[in-house]
Formats: sequence, C-alpha cells, structure tokens
Amino acid sequence: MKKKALFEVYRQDNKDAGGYFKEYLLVIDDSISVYDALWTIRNELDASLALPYFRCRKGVCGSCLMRINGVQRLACRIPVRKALGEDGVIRVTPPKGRPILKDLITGWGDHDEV
Amino acid sequence: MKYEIIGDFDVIVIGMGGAGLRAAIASHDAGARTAILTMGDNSPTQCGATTTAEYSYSAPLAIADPRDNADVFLDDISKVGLGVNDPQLSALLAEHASSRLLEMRSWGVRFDLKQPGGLLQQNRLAGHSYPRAVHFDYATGREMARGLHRHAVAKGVQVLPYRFALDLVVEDGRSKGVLVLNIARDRLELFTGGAVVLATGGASGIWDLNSNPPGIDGDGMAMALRAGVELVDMEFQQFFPACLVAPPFLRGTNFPFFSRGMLLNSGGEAFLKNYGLDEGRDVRDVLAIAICKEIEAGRGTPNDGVFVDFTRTPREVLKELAQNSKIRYLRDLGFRPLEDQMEIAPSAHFTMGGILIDAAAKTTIPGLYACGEVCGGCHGANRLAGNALAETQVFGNIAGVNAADYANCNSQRDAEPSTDLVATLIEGVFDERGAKDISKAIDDVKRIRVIMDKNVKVIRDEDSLKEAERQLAELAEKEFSFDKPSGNATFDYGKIEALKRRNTILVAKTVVASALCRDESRGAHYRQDCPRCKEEWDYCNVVAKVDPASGEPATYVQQR
Repeated sequence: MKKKALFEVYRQDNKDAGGYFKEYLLVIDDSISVYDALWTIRNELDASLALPYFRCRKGVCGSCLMRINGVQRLACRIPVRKALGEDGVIRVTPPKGRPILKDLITGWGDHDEV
Repeated sequence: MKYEIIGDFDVIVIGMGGAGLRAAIASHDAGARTAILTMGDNSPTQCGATTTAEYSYSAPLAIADPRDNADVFLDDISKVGLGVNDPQLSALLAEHASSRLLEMRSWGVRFDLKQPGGLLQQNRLAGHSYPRAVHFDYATGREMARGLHRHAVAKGVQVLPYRFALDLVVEDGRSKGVLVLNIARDRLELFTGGAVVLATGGASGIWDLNSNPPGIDGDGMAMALRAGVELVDMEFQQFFPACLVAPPFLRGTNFPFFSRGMLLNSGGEAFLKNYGLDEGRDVRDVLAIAICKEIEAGRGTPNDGVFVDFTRTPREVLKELAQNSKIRYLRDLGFRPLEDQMEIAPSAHFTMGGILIDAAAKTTIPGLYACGEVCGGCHGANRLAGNALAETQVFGNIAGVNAADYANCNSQRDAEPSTDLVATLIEGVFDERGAKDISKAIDDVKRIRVIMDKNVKVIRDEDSLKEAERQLAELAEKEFSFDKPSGNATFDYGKIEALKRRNTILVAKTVVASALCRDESRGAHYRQDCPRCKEEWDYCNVVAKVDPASGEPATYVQQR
C-alpha cells in the first residue's frame, strides 16, 4: 500500500563536522524496507546522501545497522509499515558507538585507516 | 593531475572477499608487507560475494563416506565442467580444498558439527558423488569472511577501505602498481608495489537479475583486459536456478530452499519431470535451462518466473527451514516464504570464466596475480555447489604466496611508473574541464544490465547475441568524462557506479563475443540455435583479449 512517510535523516558532512537532520517526504509502498526507502531518497531526491555501499540482501551483513526511531536495528529487515510511528515519521540516525564518517556511513573504530 | 603515491607495500591485494583475504594472509606469512584495497567498509562482515555465500564449502574430507578423496572430487568437477576446465587448476582445487578448510578451522572459523565437539557435518549436494558440503547454518560465507578478516587484521595485514581501483599500471611488460580512487577522501592514489593480486570477484552484476551484492561487476576483468591480459571461458556464466523475482525490491534474492520444495508452472504443474529433471538432484545449469524454457513456453508467472511450493515438503524439513536466517529475514519483511508460493527465476550468480592464470595464479604479466571468481579455468562449463568458497581459499593461498615471492625477489627500485603513463590512465577517466555525466553514465549501466538480461541470459542464440552486440556498440559510442577528484565529493558511490560504465561495457562485450564464438551448447552456455555439444569443441576454450588497435575484445579458440 502506498503511504506517506516523513523521513528525518541524520546528516554529517565529515567526521569532524556537527550533525543535523534533513527531512524528506516520500509517498512509497510501505512494504519496502527502511533501507530501500533510504536508497530511494538517495537515488531520486538527494544524491548527496551518503549510505553504506554494501548490502548482502539477506539480512546478515550488518552494513545497514542504524537507529530507527531510537531503536538500533538492521534497516533492511524492517518494512516502512512497521517503522512508521503514529506521527508518520521515521527518524534515522547512525548506530551507537561507531565513529561517523559521513551521514549514515560509520567506521569501525580501531582500524578504519582512510 | 594530482595524485598521492603510496609505496609502503610489497603486495597490493585488490578486493576483500574470501580470495583477497586468503591471498593477503598468505602474502603476509611469506614476509611481504601486504595491503588489501576494498570498495566498502573495513568490516568483517562485508566481504564481497563471500559474505553472501549461503551454504557450503566443498571438501573431500571423507568424514561421511570413506570412499571420498581428491581424485573422486576431481572427477566430479570435470564431469560438470564438460572438458572446458583447465585440468591443472581443477586438480589444485580438488587437492587443496580440504587442507585450506582445516586451516581456517584452526584460525577460528566455525562450521557445523555432527555433535558438540564432534566431527564436521557434511551433506551431499547435487553433482557431488559423496557428502562434501561443510557449512555453518546458511551463513557459511559470512562466517568465513568474519574469521578470515579477523585473522588477517590480527596478523598485521593492512586493510585500506573505501578504495576503488581504476586501472592496473603496467609498464615495460610488468606490473608496477594500481591507480585508485580513494572514495573517503575523493582523491587519486597510486599504489606502487612489487606485486598486485586481483581478487575483485565475478561479473554477475552486469545482468539486471542477479543474486550478488552490489559491486560485483567484472571490474577486475575489465582492468585486466585493458592491461593486455587474456580472459577465458567468458561465455560460461552460472545462473542460480531460483532467485525471487517479486516483489520488485526483493528481485534477485537467492532462494536456495527451492530444492526442498517443488517448482510449479502457472498451471500448478510440477514441470521439471517433463524435462526429466528433479529439483534436489540435478545441477544448476540444467535446472536453469529447464525453468527458462518453461517460462518462454508461456507457462510462467506474471513476473516471468515459476512458483516454489512446499505443501508436499515433510513437516520436519519445514521446521528446520523455518529456523533459517534468510527465511526469518523474509518473515521480518512480512512474507510467508514457506506457506505462500514465492515466484522465482534463474538469475546471474557466478562467473565461471575470467582471467587466464597458470598453476601459480600468475597472469601473463609478471607481477600480476589473480585468484577467486575473477579467474577462469577451474570450474569449466558449470560449477558445483560449494566449489566457489573452496576456490577462494585454494587459489587465494597460491596467489598470495607467489605474489609475495615475486615481490621479495624483485627489488622495488625502478618500480615507479613514468608520470606520462599515469597521466594517460587518469585522462582516460577524468576530465580537467570537469564534465558532469554521472547520472547519464549510471543510466547506461542500468541499460547494459537490461540488454544482457534480454539477450545474453540462460537461453541465447546468434540473433540475440548479435542484437546485444549492436546495442552495446551503439551505447559505447558516447564518450563520458567525470569531474576530477577534488576532495569534495567524498563517499559518493554514485560516482563509483558511473565510473564502472566503461568496465561494464567492456566485460559485457567480451561475454557476448565469447558466446558468439562458441557455436554449440555446453554446460551453462545454451545456444538454442545449436542446442547440442559439438565434438569439435571438446577441450576447447574461447580466449578473449583486447585488440590494442581498436580497443575492442577479440576472441580466438584454443585447443588443449
């Protein structure tokens, strides 16, 4: 079913910059995963949004680990339908405890030589 | 144009899948300062197609059946390889698969055991004479990647994430390094080193319906072709029989459980028996061809697939499947994959062809090595289940040892390439004027994938291949250039997709040329205009090389 969803997506230009939220209003099939919805934003609305490149397509690699409305989970495993709060908002922030390199791309701490 | 020169390493491994990780470990152990370049994060669970490999690593350990050994394994490989395999490479795979597996266990990679503390559990899969499949749930590849990554990093292998290799630097007839785009910093880097190991994986990503993670688009093969290296067997592309085709956002999701259920056509008929086949027993190439024939005959689903049905599957089996991580993933997304009929079709899965290597994993260019799916030769016309993971370890090790040996023996003096050559390579990609063609180039890549799906899939013929050739040539006429790296466009994976355009075109053309050259059907290469094996093609390989004058891939036939 097509639904309206307001995505509040965490943005940070580089590892030393401050963070902010950017809003994107989407009307999408609510059965797609939050991760697919983020890629829709990236491909159709805002090419500057940095997302992790890798995806295993089976829910095991952890590439899309992020906080969705405050709860840490794999964005590929939760459909928009379930993530939508009553207010119609999906707030996406990077996972806890990892250094943020850009937007939703995070490093692994001790060995992210870039 | 500015670039950073990085000369701290003896061996540069390009690609961080199973083969790249194993090559780096071997190279490091042989005393070479070793770095791995990877497009993605430095993450132990994001290691190319290896991470997504579901079920098995084949090893003739003879645990389940004492009659098994490397010779029987080699017979099985050769049987499905249909005389296309390089016998020397296949023999290496058969001989070393077991020891490489046990070595991984000693490094902490886990596999399922018969009982706690007991022997490894081995299952028998289609095409294997005996039970050889060693596994860890349905996430064997991810477990291997995790363990190998941890082992490599702990030893001191340097992983350099967010690097996209643009071109190999070959001068005076030998490898002098690799030109790289640092995605995190948006800058060019020239890695000079004693030896380079290509471990970039296959080319399944050049088909629209494919089961691979993003990025497996034949980039290593394209770089090798541009450097003058030959590819072999590129007409042999494995199509996994069963990947989801609907809903659109799950297209290409591998559905290996089909062998535990039944495949039904749109009329509800279990059609494989009409082709003399069985889901659980037959190997991938014949299943894929039968499924595609059924769909082409008009008995497919609305999304051009067939159904998987589990109503006759025993309850114990279903109970076991319900525990599976991928079934749970599909359930999380709101599907009932064991109760409802999912729609599946064959999708591009594994590239049997690739870079021509010898038994030391050497290419024809001194100092350039290759291992894993980027190479051709060891599987031949079809690949048995579990042999891809085994290949990564067997040939990763061989490539790593030999690359280190080359680097140790060839002093790095005079290793730096001339600035003119580097400038030419950079100008081949970036334009000082800063044209902006990114979205058009990405559109082209998508179009190529559709052209390949339409014309160069499981069932091909001369007309469809010629049509693909024509469309690819037309598309390749346009010239593209991209903003030179300025340090501002960091983590721009859209730009990477665009930069892949020239690689995708070159590899797609090579596949088409190879498929046109082999005017017979054999294994995964099915030409409906010549549907049988021809004797004159026995023990013959199609070799492809870029003609330096035209820049186009040209093929010739080599008989053993």
